[in-house]
Amino acid sequence: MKNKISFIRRIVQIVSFVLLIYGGYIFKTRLYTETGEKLFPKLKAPEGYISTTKFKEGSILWPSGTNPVLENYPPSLVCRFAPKGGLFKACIFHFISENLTWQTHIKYLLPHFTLFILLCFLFGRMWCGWVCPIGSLGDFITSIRKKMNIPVKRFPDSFKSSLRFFSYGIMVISFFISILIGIPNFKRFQCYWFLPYCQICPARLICPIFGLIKPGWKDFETVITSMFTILGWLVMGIFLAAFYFGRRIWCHLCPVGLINSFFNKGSGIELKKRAISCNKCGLCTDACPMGLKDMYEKDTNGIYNQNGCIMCLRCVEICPKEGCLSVSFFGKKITESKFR
Amino acid sequence: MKRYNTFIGQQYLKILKYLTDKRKNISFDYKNEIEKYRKASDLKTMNYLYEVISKKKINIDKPIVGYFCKTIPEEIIIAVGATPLRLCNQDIYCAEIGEEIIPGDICPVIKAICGYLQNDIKIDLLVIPATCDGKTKLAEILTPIFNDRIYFIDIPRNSDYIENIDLWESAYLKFYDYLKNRFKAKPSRKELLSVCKMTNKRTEIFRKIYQLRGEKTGIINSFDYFILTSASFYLSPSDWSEHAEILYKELLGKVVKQNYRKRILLAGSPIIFPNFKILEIIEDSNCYIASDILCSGYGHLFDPVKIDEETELGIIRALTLKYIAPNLCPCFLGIDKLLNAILENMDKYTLDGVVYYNLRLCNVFEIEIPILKDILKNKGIPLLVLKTDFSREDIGQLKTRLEAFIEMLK
Amino acid sequence: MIKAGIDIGSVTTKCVIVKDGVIFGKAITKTPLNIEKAIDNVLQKAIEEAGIKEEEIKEFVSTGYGRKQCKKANRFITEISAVAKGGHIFGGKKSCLIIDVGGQDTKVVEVNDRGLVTGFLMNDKCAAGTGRFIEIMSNILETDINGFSSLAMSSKNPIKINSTCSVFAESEVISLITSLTPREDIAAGLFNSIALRITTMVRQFKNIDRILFCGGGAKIPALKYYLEKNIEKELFVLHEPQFVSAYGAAMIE
Ligand code: SF4
Ligand code: SF4
Ligand code: SF4
Ligand code: SF4
Repeated sequence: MKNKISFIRRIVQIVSFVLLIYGGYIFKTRLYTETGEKLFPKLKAPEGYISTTKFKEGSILWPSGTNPVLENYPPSLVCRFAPKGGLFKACIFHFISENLTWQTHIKYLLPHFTLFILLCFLFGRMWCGWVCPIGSLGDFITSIRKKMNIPVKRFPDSFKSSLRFFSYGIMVISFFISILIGIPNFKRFQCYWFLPYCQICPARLICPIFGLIKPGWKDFETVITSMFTILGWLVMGIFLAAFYFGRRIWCHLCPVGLINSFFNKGSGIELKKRAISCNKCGLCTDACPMGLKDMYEKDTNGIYNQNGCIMCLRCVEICPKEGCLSVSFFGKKITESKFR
Repeated sequence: MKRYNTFIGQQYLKILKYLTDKRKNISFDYKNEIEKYRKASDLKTMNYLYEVISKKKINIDKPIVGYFCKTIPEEIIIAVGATPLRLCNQDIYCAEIGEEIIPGDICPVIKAICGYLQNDIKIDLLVIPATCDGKTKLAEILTPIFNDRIYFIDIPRNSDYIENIDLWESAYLKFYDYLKNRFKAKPSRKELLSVCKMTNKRTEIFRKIYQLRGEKTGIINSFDYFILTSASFYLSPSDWSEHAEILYKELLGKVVKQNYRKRILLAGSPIIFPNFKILEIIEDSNCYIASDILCSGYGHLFDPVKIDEETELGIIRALTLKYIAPNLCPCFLGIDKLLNAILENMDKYTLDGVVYYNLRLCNVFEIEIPILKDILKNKGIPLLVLKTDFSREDIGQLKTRLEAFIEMLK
Repeated sequence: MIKAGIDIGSVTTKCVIVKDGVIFGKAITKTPLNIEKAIDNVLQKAIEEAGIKEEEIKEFVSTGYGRKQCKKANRFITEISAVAKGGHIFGGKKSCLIIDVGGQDTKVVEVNDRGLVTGFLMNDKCAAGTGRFIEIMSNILETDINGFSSLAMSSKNPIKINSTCSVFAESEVISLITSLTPREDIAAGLFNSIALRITTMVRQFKNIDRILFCGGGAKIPALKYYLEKNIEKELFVLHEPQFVSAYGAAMIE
């Protein structure tokens, strides 16, 4: 069948979108057995510290549900603000920022973190390409653009690397703020500066909207919340525009994807190239939603898990030379490029 | 093509008129050759294809767009409702006529084209790419005959995707717009896509035959194979795939009788009927061409259009990535592709050696040879260069070389 | 075992009779239009010299440009393989490069230490750099090949001849003669230009430590001298250079 990989990916994306956004509705209660609770302890704010549950309806960080179905943090944008608590607790960025503020003891964090690393190790950044609901939404927007016969806008490499630089900036700044407000002396800043990235993350707005819940999208109570609200709009605008014009350009900026990308090299899922089969047609880089070039440019056999690669496998699918690009999972070949 | 001095044009027209008269005495049908090759063939389906070649069967209901070289996108020509006809030609008599228009040390293919255009086929538009020096100047030489019926595509000669994709895209777009205006057609995206599907079908069946040929020694002799690929110049993609499909079925059921001594890869200059000299030499010394990477066969049919985004621009872009980027033609920068193609074929079909056919005076092919020699030597792949032209008197010498090469392979 | 090797070149036909690797009889004649006759002719002469009967010859291998015309032969090999084999045996069974300057073609063959050909080059259609060219030039200078050679050796300052094409070289030489250039210098210039042409062929091979020289051209001292000068290596002229191919053919397994 033509476009087999894309087809499977679409299905996986739709299923995970439904599960991740509507998980709270579908399962209603926590799906945790007792051992599960023991294995992955619920992380709570210590006495006197802020947590998302303390925000009231209409404010920026208002979660529409308090109890997620599963108390875990997978490596993609599974949002804290998904309706009715969502399927998972939150994304890894939320997890890190929150616990930096709460100064949670490492023994409670370790199981969560181990699971995260394990998931990353298994699938690398495949989470971005196949699971992340925001990415899926973006792909959907892209397909609308295609239908409307609007050509994709391609950005130069320098722009993409500056986005990555920004992404680092966002990560470092928000972790820094999170640590800062965890210091007892700065406690009073907590209610404004808690989870700084969440306050501007587009998922915070998008996830509730899809669950037909009004997100906290116009919180003008104080100067700082107004600032975050407006910043949130801006980022949302960037997000929509990015997906509309330039495929996955947004994913160069997303700090969650950034954390995920650290594990891309050396993960179980491997993108491989057999150099002598390549005819240098450039289709792979032309079709790559992240606009990566290595698999076209380089002439060595081996693994091509680049940092930016979201493992969407579009390149493998489109490469017209049999066996040139291939995917393997821990050395076992799953599929390879072929012409049919 | 307007920048042409009409004064010089008159000169050419005079010569051409003289040549048209001269041409009447020459027969172009190559009955003997066709018979010779057809006898060597043991495939029934080939009969029709031989006929296509000898009678030059083309669909003349639609306007005909003649073009040279593998870098012209057939798909958009078909989409605007015209018939593409690849005019690349290696006719010895045509070359003789062409000699009178452009004498001197010029590539014989260019000369043959000049002579060939004095043909009965009425060409509504002639598309010439700037792939080599000869073709570039050809556009000027032919202006007096074709006037405004010439379109010149300027294709940058660096086939690196990253550097030149935008230039290719704009060149193709311009061509597409021109065609749309000229033939008063506005093909929809769907139509374009369906044409692409058609050529992809052709690629698919070609790849099957290509692979079968590589895997089973002796399944198809080289005359048949090159007649098959040359027929794709005349037949529409759907017609061609139909016949190729039948041929493929016949090949699957075929029992191979002949024993070949060696399996070789043929690379280098294009081989187009009737210039099958090299093939004759190779067949005579009982060598099997298990694989080829020539632009008249592999280059013309092997690459598919793979469309990433089905927008109009996306399709045009995909076409450039079919026609220009993977091009092995030495006129372009990027010998790494040629090496990859050679190494891959050697590896995939476990071949014994490479025969590099170098058409004399097509200099770009010759320039490649030292690099190729060096690299292939390091990889332990034997390479034989056969340098020759259309004339037949050096067949003995070439045979000696080929045989010495085969003896060397043992 | 007695074997015969016959090398039908474009200018001369050579035949050797070999018994257990040793040459017993050999003969050479000009190749006329009727090749069959020449074959019979040299074969008879060689058999006479060897003192055997024709029936005793177990294998009959022919090589060279007219090899397919030889009806008696039960094997055909190309002159490349033949000269490689012969050169390898004569040259002491080591890896080497063999230059064979024949009547109408010049070959450079690379042989590894097991006597296998690893690469070869032949001159193109054109006769430049072959024995024929030397012959034509000696005619223009009104001497024979030996005289031509000794003329070239006696030159003090060889002039530069730009054309290697025999037709152009001819007119160039004639104009040099009329401008009263010494014949010695012209001859030397001509040899130099042939040697240059062969040198470019030799340069395409990497392993040029040991170079053997055979074929009719190896009998011309001036050619050897100027080749050595251009390649900057010593050439070993093989014993009986003209018979190397025929011997190689007879020795082929
Ligand atoms: S708002 Fe963004 S960063 Fe915060 S939990 Fe949701 S997805 Fe994660
Ligand atoms: S990088 Fe893109 S796909 Fe990955 S988590 Fe961020 S938004 Fe989702
Ligand atoms: S490199 Fe391939 S798998 Fe990775 S993002 Fe680009 S197209 Fe997808
Ligand atoms: S799509 Fe495949 S053949 Fe084309 S450049 Fe990429 S890896 Fe090479």
